[in-house]
Amino acid sequence: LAQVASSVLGIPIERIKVRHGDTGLIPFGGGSYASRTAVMSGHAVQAAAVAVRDKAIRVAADKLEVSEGDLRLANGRIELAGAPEVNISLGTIARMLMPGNPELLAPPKVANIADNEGLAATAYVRAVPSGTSVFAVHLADVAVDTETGKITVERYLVAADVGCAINPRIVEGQLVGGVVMGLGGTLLEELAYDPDGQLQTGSFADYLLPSVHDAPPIRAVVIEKARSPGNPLGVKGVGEVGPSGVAAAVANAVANALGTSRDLNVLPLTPERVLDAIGGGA
Amino acid sequence: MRPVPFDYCVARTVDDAIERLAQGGEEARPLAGGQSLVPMLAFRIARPSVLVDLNHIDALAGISVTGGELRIGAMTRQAQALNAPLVARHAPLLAQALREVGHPPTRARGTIGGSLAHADPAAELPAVMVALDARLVVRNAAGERMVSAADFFHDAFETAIRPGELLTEIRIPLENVGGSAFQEISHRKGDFGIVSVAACVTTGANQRCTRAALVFGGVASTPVRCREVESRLVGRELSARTIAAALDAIPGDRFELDSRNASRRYRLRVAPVLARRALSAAASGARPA
Repeated sequence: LAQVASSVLGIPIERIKVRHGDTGLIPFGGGSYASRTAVMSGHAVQAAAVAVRDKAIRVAADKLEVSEGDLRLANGRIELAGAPEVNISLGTIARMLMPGNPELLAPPKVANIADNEGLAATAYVRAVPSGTSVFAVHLADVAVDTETGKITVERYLVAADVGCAINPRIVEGQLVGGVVMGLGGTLLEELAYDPDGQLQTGSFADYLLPSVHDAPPIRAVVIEKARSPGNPLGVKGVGEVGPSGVAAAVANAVANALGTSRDLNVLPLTPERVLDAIGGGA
Repeated sequence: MRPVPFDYCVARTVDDAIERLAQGGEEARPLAGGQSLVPMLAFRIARPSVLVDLNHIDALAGISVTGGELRIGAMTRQAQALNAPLVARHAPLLAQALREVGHPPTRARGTIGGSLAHADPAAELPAVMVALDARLVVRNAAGERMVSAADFFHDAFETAIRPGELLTEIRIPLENVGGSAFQEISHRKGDFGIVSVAACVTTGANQRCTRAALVFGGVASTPVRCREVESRLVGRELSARTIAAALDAIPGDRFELDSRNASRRYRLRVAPVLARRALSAAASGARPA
């Protein structure tokens, strides 16, 4: 999100603070779930950053007595196109817009700035019902020990068309982490209940999470071909595309190895379930 | 969760530890590496009155060969034993099994004696010690006594150690070095085995087997040694056919564990598979190069 604001405002990412999770600041944030953060928050941050930029240009145009169209934002300053020595910093503009500022009392003609928020802007976006789904391919290479039912995922590849990767390394990390999470659900994690409805896997001693020791080599391929039409950034949500394909890919690979998918329809695919599917036991 | 409140003291010598354990009575517990005990405290499964910390008693840690035995101090860290040349030479089975015990961080703290005294039915080291005919040194205020590994494990989490006593050393005879192997199936790398098996064999003239040991962990409340399988191997050449035939004698009636983690039926089914793999690997290790 800082990167989105940085790219609009030309301010170094290190100087941008993102404050999470404070409903005192933003009552209608909604939260980070359902692969929505880049799409929703990214879009909102971009819209708010553009509004801040436009506001700054309007103030600068008044102050410098030039037309807005001749100004541009570069290096954290509003500059006159063709004569960058004529400029005014965003900090100066923010101070000018500060309520109670003497410069505002003897104002540049900022009659077109209707609010009293200073150099700030709020933007809301509405969810777009389509166009943020990621296209992805999951490939799993597995070995099945047919005598014990133990599955070993030897290699994994996930390729995803994310529209626009705001930060490719983050997208890659999210995909790899998502695959590990998916492997947990496919091979290990189970909410098991006894006949009285008592949860039997209520601690991490029994509810088995995957760790780095259980992760195969995973390759994530990030593709940016099909931009999302639903938001100006062209981004799509990548939170769920990592985990969601794993069970199908791994179970299909196991079925391929065994030559049948019969009885391979309960997750997680524990050694015992796989050996039962293989059959031939006593 | 937070543990139930308990007292804590640091023992400086073995005698000091034994005295403090005796004072603490039935609910006093020694603290070794803490890799099982500390989570049990957090779950409130363990509610000791006092913990006697053994981590500052240097005399309890160390590996040596003395009197025809490999001697391992009870507080020797698993990682230290795993990497010790003396263990590699005289008890390779222990090193093979230790690779399956937890992860490097848990092995850096976890101790050999702690794992044995804890006596988790699914743990690896009890089966190893039974397979190696190890003797365990137990000390109390009156002196020392020796307990064979076969007699040490009484039930799940119960051993021959009585209140006021401390496991101080493990002694492994040197003559049992031959070929060995450890096999286990677990849900994740580093987890306790669903089924684990320790195998070691020695061979003499004409490649004939002179000693065999096959011990399962994770199938009953204590390690299950397969004497009948062993006697079918001794005196024979360890071919695939001999091994397969001997495995019919795995004492399935002694397999008791049946849990959500894995059914008894599953354990019975994979036990011969793991045993065959372990015995085959042990047999090829026993052959002179």
